[in-house]
Amino acid sequence: MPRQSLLTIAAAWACYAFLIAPSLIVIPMSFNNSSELIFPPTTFSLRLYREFVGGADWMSATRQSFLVASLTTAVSVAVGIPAAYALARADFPGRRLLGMVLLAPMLVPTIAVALGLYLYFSSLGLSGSTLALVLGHSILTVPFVMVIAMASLRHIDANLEVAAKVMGAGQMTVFRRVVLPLLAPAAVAGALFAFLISFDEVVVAWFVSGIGTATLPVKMYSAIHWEVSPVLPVVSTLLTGLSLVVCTAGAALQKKDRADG
Amino acid sequence: MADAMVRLERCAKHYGAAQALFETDLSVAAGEFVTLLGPSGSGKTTILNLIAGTVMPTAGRVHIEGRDVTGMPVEKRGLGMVFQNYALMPHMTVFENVAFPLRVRRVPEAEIRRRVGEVLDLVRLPGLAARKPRQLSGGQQQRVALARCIVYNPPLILMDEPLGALDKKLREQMQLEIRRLHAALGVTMIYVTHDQEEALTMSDRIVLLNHGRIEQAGTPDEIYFRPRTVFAAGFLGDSSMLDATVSASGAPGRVTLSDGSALAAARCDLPAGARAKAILRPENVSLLRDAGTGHDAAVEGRLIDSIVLGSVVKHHVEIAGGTVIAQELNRRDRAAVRPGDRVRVGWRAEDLLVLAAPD
Repeated sequence: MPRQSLLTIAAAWACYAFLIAPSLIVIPMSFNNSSELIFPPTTFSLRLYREFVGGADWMSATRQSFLVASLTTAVSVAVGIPAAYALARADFPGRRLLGMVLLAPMLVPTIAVALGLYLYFSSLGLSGSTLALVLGHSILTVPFVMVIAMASLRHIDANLEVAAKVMGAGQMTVFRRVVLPLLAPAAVAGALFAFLISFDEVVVAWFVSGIGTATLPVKMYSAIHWEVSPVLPVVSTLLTGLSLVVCTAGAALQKKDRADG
Repeated sequence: MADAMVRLERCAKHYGAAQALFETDLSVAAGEFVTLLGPSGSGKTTILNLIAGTVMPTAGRVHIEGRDVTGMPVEKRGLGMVFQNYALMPHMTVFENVAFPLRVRRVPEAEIRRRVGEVLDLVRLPGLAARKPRQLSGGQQQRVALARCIVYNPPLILMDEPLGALDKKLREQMQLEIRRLHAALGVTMIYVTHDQEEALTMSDRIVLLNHGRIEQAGTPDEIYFRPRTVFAAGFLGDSSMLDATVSASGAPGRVTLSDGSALAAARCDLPAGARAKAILRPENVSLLRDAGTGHDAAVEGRLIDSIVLGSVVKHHVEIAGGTVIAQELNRRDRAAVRPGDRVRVGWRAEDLLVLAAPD
């Protein structure tokens, strides 16, 4: 192998290691047998995991995160898939503008979105509710679902829909029997990413959640501020694990979709 | 026409400033096989889409089976359509693809099984019902597309270059297959192609289009033997075209080539003095090897090349006004001629067509 490519590979690995190290450091720390955050750990046990599972406030935050992430996923697929289909296939005035508006949350800084939502939900009296969290997260996740679905739609032959219509299928039948089955892998991938984004999201959640509705990342953030809880590496490890599983599944689905299309 | 299956009444279509189809009238009789033939951008696909309902006319009305369907959505028209890329549903098996139009029509399951089985036999594809489209060859996929189209007995089937993606041998086989289905089912078919041979082989009637207008419509024989324009003569079959000037109008008429030699034509509808093209089909021109008889014209020229195409030989001969192609059968004892030789070519007056030269 030429020396240059060896050097390139070594440099690439060094970069990856630098980027991934902070995520990996928390893993040994989570198995620490101590009530303080210590690296490197001196003794190993599952004590901190027991503390996490046994802590009522940690468990309620976890349940809240699963609830918010699940509802956000449902909303973003229900909105994002039809929106992507309409933007990709229909031709109506204002189509491009609507597309830009729907995708805008990807470009606007999250803190700006969060502040806007905080003021908006406060004036509606929704601030602190689970509904506010779900709506706030959906604004962030819908664009992801749409981008994935639109990429998939570009590979779906529009003639299939024309053919189905010529054979007598109405618009709803075409969507249900032809478009949806072909979009299913993209919809699942979009759902996985929506779930993950919502589950990990801290900025919007910090602004719009309340005392009883704090999600896991919000709870972690307060824990860093007020107590520097030794349970934090445990939560971080579990979150990293979840992200890894979901990302791998999502990537595999998109790859399969491309191979099929 | 009382029994017209399709009637376009002064239909036009433009996209912004681009005119895809100028005001056009077209009538297709029930049971007819009509080919819309023309180069790309000639408006043939636009006509098909106007009939299908996927494109709305800018002006004019579309009638199917006597009903005005101009504003009717695609799915209400009850037509069949076959696409160049087959447009089979990739997530459905062959059976489900063919069953799709029946399911949309809420046909009972037992009848679906029976009818899908029948049409798969009809298109000679039994035993492949459980396959997915991508496991089939191009020819098989197009048979599935045909089966899916005829399974619900539409009175009219539209075909948009359905054989364009197949190789030549398979294409010829499928042409016969489609003709067989047309005859067996008595269905009306409107077929779009840019392949003149395909149009000549398959059609009851050819509608030749150019630049968004109907150039000429008629039976394959009419268009081949009596093209009304230079475009029609050039698009269907081989033609040699000579620059000429009309010297005598009427029947018989006469044209003059650039070197002053006069050629007799059985008829000439252009006024004397008009610029014209004198058109000859290669199969009507002979290379004269001796003082041959039976020819009304015998012109001397220089042989440019002889091209052997298996059973026939085409001699390209340069004469005043252009190049004439003379075709003869490729026989073993054919006397050899060489490029550069002075040769004589001859034809009969009724085989010389005189058409207005395009501007």
